[in-house]
Parts: sequence; structure tokens; C-alpha cells
Amino acid sequence: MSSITLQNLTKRFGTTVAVNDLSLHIEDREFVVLVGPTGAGKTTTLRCVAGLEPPDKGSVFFGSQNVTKMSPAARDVAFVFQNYALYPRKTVFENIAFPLRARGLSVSEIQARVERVAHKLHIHHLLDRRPAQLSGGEQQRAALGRAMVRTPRVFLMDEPLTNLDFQLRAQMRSELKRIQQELNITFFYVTNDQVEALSMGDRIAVLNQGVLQQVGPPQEIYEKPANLFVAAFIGSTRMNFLPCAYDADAGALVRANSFSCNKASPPPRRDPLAERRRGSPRFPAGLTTEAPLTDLWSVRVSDELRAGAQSAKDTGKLILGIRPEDVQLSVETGMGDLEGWVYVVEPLGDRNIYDVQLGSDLIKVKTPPTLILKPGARVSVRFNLARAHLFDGITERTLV
Amino acid sequence: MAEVRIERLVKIFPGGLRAVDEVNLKITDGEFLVLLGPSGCGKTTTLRCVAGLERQTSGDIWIGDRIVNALSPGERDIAFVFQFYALYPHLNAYENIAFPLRATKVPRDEIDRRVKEVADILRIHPILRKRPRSLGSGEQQRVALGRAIIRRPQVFLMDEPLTNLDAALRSDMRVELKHLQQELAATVLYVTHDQTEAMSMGHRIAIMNLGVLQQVGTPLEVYQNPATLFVARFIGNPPMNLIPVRRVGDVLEGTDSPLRLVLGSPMADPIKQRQRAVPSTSSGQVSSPWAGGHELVLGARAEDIRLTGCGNPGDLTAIVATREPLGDETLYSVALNGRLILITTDPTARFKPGDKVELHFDRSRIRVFDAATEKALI
Repeated sequence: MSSITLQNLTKRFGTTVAVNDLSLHIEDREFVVLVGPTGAGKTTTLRCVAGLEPPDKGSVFFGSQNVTKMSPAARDVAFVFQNYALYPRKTVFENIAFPLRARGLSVSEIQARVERVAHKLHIHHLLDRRPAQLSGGEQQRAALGRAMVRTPRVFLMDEPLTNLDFQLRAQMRSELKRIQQELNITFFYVTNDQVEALSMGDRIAVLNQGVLQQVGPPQEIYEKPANLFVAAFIGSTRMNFLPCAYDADAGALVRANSFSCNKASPPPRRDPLAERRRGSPRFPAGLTTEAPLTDLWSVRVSDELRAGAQSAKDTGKLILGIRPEDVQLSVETGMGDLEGWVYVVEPLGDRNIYDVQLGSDLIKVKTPPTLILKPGARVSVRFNLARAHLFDGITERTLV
Repeated sequence: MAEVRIERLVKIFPGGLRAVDEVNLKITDGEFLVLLGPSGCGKTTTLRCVAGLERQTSGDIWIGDRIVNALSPGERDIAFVFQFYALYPHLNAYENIAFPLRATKVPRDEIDRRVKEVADILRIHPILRKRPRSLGSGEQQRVALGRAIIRRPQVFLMDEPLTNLDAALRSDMRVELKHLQQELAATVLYVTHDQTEAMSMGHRIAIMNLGVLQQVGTPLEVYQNPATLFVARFIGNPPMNLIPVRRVGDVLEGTDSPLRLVLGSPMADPIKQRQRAVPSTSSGQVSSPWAGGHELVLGARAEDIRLTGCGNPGDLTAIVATREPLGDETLYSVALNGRLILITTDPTARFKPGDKVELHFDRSRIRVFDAATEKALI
């Protein structure tokens, strides 16, 4: 068991900088998830830690030992990939025992170790089967067993759940977390799935284009994203982003026409600033609007948001960020701050996700499943501004 | 647009595989109906029978007021959409949309008028002159949608059209497709294995397994009142918690766990009614599944179980196994005899793995299934 320290790690492929001056410390026995979109440099980072890829600059430490120049085998790490790479002709027992056989352990010692691991993973009843006779989750656990059986110093995992269906994935998330707690071993885990990151990590490190964006516990990353990228990437239903400007006379944020950010880094999903829905709003057949929707709205803001807005590079280029659960819908007009129209309702059982047209923006609102509004219904929209975020539209940094 | 009726549809493949087994289903005019199930359940075969791409072994397909069994796919007046982005790369967006009309010799100005109309609905005017490869994938999808709707078919049949998209685009396309369906008041039969897609888009969901229709209902109905254990396991993320129990008097007791759930009034009443109903059936042999000792399965959604600390005795005492923060809520699991019970709480709850907790089941929301027939009793 060991802590892991990455010090100013840089890795280039030709002219592409895959990992850019990355520093990160993982405590002994900590579960850290490195999360980011495809091409962020996560796997390259992990491969540098494993010794499969030599960094161009920087060092990797296990505890106080510099392992940067050590071979993968000498580092004593366990590496689990998304394709489990089990030997198809061997039984589960033999698959798990394989790394021990290579070390020349006694038969009884091997037997004891394999059984101990199999018990921890709840696969002791499957030891005589071959991989083809196992379900995806069982194969996954067998692969874990093979990695665990020699008690490595650290566990490195590269998207191990990607090939499982969603129910199994949910189940394996809990399982992996339980296993990590039981083994009490350092886990460094890479994924592009923000749900996996939030649910499993003691801490999350968010990576984009080779650059570390933010490191922190899940709730902190979710509630206090450091920049627009993190805000957009983390959260099951994407945060709403509304381009706006600060009107000092009114002490309010007002809707601004869309503008494009200067910085090269595009937000990960679809560009939240892209003017994806132009033109007049449309409604289901037979429904008419009483008045044309205006694209001008304004919300009066607290001292905190005002101070944040004033600290922006350009107070005309701000982005108000608000999560779907921090918007309230009501049918009584005049009660809320803004007026909109129901575009689409998505009932998900435990919640409804409403797409509401607000001017030319579509925003997502999470409500209890009991709120039922028809498409085309007119609604009042109120932002819980105490939980809103404000981003600098130029630097993409969080202001509030 | 028209309604579609599937009556006693059976499809047996050479070799004897019964892919579709006596399916009855009506899709009303203007309805978005999702046919949902795991791979191999018969949903795509059903869809292909409606499309005319597959000839059923028996049963009838109605589109509008005619039986279309003997009609070729081309004569059925349907639009079949496999995937939205199979566009012709050498044609621009305008020509891609116009393509189905070019083949039917519609006059030029009529084609132009209809392409513009479709572009208006989809808001893709600015990109009509561009070729697919210079379009973003969201724009490509909309062009593909445009090509599907320009013919004004009676019915849209869609087979997992969003499957190959990345998660963010898929969620955007769900919204766009649903909105488009509302606007056109189109009849849509949509096949998917993704329950989130089914829940979020369908007016009603028809769930199939092993060729047999399990349940048809609105998203909320199938979520809250699954008719079978299969539906309970398939719908919802996370799926419903299912715990083996037996009934002893007014108590549900865990068969292999220390769960003890004293039934309050909302639950006890329907049970008593059912007990009364059973003896009145003709056969004297019938033993009520509610009889004491009968194997039952208790079903409870993760959000219908409340967690408290130990001071507040509940239906089950357990140890927190894992805690998964998801941002807007937190998912806890407790171990119960080798299986995990999942509970969602708001993100402010602060239990830790190893904590002793009490579980409280919401009596008005729990379901009970017969373990033998796998059917819901309440």
C-alpha cells in the first residue's frame, strides 16, 4: 500500500500535449477518480503511473520512492482494463491463481489466497467455471480477483465498467467501492463517466485537454465548480447556462445575445453557449401563445452575485449557471421571476425533467414526479439565486 | 396520421424460435408508443412485422382502417427510421431532405415548398446548402429527421435511432424528437432497449420479454406499479429493490432477512379485500397467494425508503455498505443477506459506511409480487 504523487507530469505525442504539467497527490488508501471527456489525457496519465508510458517531464512517486524510471513489473501495481482479458480456456480459479503461479508459490498457499479473494468478491461459487459461462459482472469480478490476489501497492483502473449494461454498472459501482473499503488499498481510477466519478471517488480530479481543472471531494466539485468546463461536465442533467450582462443601474443580470468565448477550450458536451435554437418558439399543434415571447429578461441579484459580476473582465460577457434542481416552476404567472413555456416533459419516474423555453433559450428544470404540466403550458420560472453560479464569459472562470 | 393495431401477432422463425408470442397492441392516432425490452425480446421483430419487412406467422396488422398483412413495405405508407444520420454524403442537406420526394416525381416547386416547411419546423434553414460532413452531428440528425417527415407518412417506425450517439447528443435528440412528435401529432412506434429513453419519450411504454408483452402503460404507471417482477427489474435507474418475504398476519417478514414490515392501513386494506375475493372463485383448490407462508416479493423504489439514525425504530435495522454522492442526491446501499438494498436521499444526508441505520418503507408506495407467478398482487 502506498500513496501516489504525480509531480509536474508532462507527456507529448508528436506536437500534441496529452498531459500538461499535471501535479496530483493521492493519499495512501484513497480512492481518487480521474474524470474527463475522451482525449483528455486520463489514460495517458494512468499509463505513466503504471510505467507503460515514460513521461517527457516530471516524476511519479509511490510513497517516498521515485518510480519514474522503474519497469511496470517492478512498480508492483495492478492494472484493470475495460476488456477483462481473462484466459478463456482457464477456469476462474486458474485465472485468479495465474499471477501467483508465475511467482512460484506453494499449492496450498495459492489455494488459500485465491479462496480469500474469491470470498471478498462473492465469486467463490464460480471458481470452477470458465469465463464464457460468466455474466459480464462476474467476469469483471474475476478480472479484479486476478489483480487483487497478489496484494499490489496500488490499483490502477481504466474504465473497467464501460462494457457493462447500466444496471450492472450501477451494481458494480457499489461493489467496487465496497471492495476498495474492505481491501483498504489505494485506487486510482480513470473514467469518462461523471456518475462513476461522483459516486465512487473519495476525491475527483477533473481533466480536460491534458490540464487538471479541479480536484476535490464529489460534493464540492458538484456545488462549487472551479470553471465552466467542470460545471458543464459534472451533473447528470447538465447545468443551464444563460449568457447575460450586468446592468449596474438596475443591479440586475440581463439576457445578452449569445457570444462566443475567447478561450480555445470548448465545454465538453455540446457548447452550452452555442445558439442552438434560433427563431421564434414553436408550440404543439392547436396551442397559441398569448403574447410573443420576449428575449429580454432580467433578474435582480444579491450582493454576492453583484460583486462577482463586477469582478468580471467584461461585465457584458457573463454566464449565469444554474442546475436543473435549483429552478422552480409554477403555473401561477406573476409569482416567479421569469416567464416561459413548456417545450417537452421527460418523466423519469422519481422526477420529471422539463425543458422550458425561456426566450430563445431552452432550460432544463427538475421537478418532483407529481408536477404535471402539458407541453405548451405557460409557466413562471424562478431561479434559486442563492445556489446560482456566475462565470466570466471570457476566462470561463467561476466568479461566484 | 393513423392508428396502428397489432392483433394476436405471432412470429415463429424457421427452427422454432417463438420471437413474438400473441402480442396485442394499439397505438392510437398521434401517440408516441415505445416498445421496450432487452435484446432478443422480440421488439424489433414486432416492428419489422408492422413495417412489412418480416411476414408474421399469424395475426393481423392494421394501419388506419385497413389490414396491411399482404402489402409490401412501400405500400404501407410508413417511414422506417433505423438511425438518424445515414445521410447521402454527396448531397447537401436540402437534397437529402428532398430525396424521398424526387423518387416520387412530385413537382419541383411543391418539393421546394415542402423542404422549406420541414426546414422551418426543424429550424435548419441556415444549413440547407451544406453537405453532411460539414455539419455537426446534431445538425445531421435533424436533417435525417427532415428526410423522414417530408413524405408525411401515416406512421413512423423507429428502431433504436439514437443508439450510436454520445450521451449528451442523445439527450438533446430525445428532447427534439419528442417535441417534433408533439408538433406533428405523429403516430410513432419506437423500439429501444434503453429504459431512460422509453420513460422520457413515450406517452405509453409497452414492455416485452421473451416475445411476450409484459405491461403497457404510461411511464409513471410502469414505474410505480410494475405488473411483473421483470418490469420492476427493468424499469428505473436504480431498479426497484426486491426482497423475498412471507406474510404472517398483518406483517411481511423477510424470508432470509430480519425485515419486519407491519402493514399500516393503506396496505392492509387491499390485502383484506383480496383475501375476501379469493373464496368466491369457482375452484375450491385456489389458495390465495396472500395466505400465510406463501412466497412473496416485496418491491420498493430507492426513493420510497427513508433512512434514519438508530433512535427511530423502523422496519429494518441495517449497516450502511456504501455511500454514493450523485450531486443532486445521494445513493446509499445497505447489505441484506448478500444483496444490496439501495436508498436515495437528498444530498444533505450524512451517513457513513459502517453506520447503523433504520430503514422505513413508505407503506403507500410498496408493491408485493407473487414469487411463483412473478406477477404483482398490489
